Amino acid sequence: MARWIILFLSIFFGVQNGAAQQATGCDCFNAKIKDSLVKHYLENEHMHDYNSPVWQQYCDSLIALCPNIAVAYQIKAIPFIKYGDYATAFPLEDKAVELDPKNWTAYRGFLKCIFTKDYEGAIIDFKKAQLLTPNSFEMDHTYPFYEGLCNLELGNYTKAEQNLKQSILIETNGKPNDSSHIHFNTFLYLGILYYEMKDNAKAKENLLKCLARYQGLPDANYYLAMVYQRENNPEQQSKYLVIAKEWKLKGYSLSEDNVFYSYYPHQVTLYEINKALGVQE
Amino acid sequence: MKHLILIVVVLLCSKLYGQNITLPDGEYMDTTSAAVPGCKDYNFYYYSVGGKYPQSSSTTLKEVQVYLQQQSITFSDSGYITFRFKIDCEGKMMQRVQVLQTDENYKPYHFNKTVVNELFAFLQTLHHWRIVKTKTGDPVLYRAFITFKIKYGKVDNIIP
Repeated sequence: MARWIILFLSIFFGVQNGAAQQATGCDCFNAKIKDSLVKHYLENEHMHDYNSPVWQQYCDSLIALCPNIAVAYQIKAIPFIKYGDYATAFPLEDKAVELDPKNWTAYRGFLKCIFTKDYEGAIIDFKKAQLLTPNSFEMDHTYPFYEGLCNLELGNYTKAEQNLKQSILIETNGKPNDSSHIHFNTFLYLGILYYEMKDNAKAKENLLKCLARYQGLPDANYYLAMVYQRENNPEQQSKYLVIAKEWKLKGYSLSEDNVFYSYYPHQVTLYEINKALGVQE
Repeated sequence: MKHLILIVVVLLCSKLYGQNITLPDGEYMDTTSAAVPGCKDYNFYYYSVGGKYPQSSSTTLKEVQVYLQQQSITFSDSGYITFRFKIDCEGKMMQRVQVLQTDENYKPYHFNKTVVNELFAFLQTLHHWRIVKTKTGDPVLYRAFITFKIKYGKVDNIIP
């Protein structure tokens, strides 16, 4: 019996060693090899449902083969971040950042800003990202844009204003008067910020600029209505609330890719619009 | 009589300080679940069916802050308490609610059971979950979650 156990263990460890050799035989630091592995393991036809066990199996296989490929950890974390399992998601995000800070620091900041609403943590990541990859974009927006959102939510309004103005400088490549390149949501959040700062004139100016680019954006119409409410202008208030409701009912929203997973800062729903209109749910 | 008092004390303490139900796949507030007849499970998640709770995070935040104020709970921890569950074909939260807890650095953590229980009780007051149907009109259930972000003993934000 003992001999059989020894034989089994010898075969088992022999196979394990062979696999390890095969793994170490792969040059995990060769960029071309890494690219082809990513294509094979993460960009194949089976990787379409991140809630399928297959998703994790492909990620784990790649990590076992080459544990230094950052994107494998980021891809592996997707289903966890989207379903509230932060204890599983963030060690994976941290590993991705550790392996490739230039590519993944801003992304982690984005997750903290939009998904876990850890605004202080997000600001730290975006400041680091700005040093690593200055004036770059994450999910269609500049790093100062997200810092602006975080500072808005933290009540640091002066900092938020500086951030959003800095974002405009980056978006326009240093020519802030050329507003054609400014994202409508930069104007939206400037408008919301000035609404919170009780600067009605600047709030209106920016919300109208936002609406000039995206006339039905429910959130811009809602906050414009709130400005008019503060100015005791019930006609204009009602007008913009009705527009907000119409477009909301048509399914329009902030037009951000991740809006399905999480509410953005200060984002409103039909519930808040109806409440402002005095409609009972 | 002494035994009766002892049993009552033990029961009360277990409610306040007892553990959640730990199963191989996680920690739960409860374990039983009764499916609504005809309510199919196609493994949908809230994000593929527009199933985030249909009011903004700040509205829900105000509601939970008022609710907790009425319960007079004091604690000082920071972190995240997440409840994951299914919404049935009538828009009701089903039983078998999973609970996940981390500290503010996303490390596994356990809040006082009273806090978890009170947040769970608040969760059960949310009655506006969306009823989801397929294109052919078949009602379906979907998976949803609510996370309470807690900072120094106060609910600071609601996710998603």
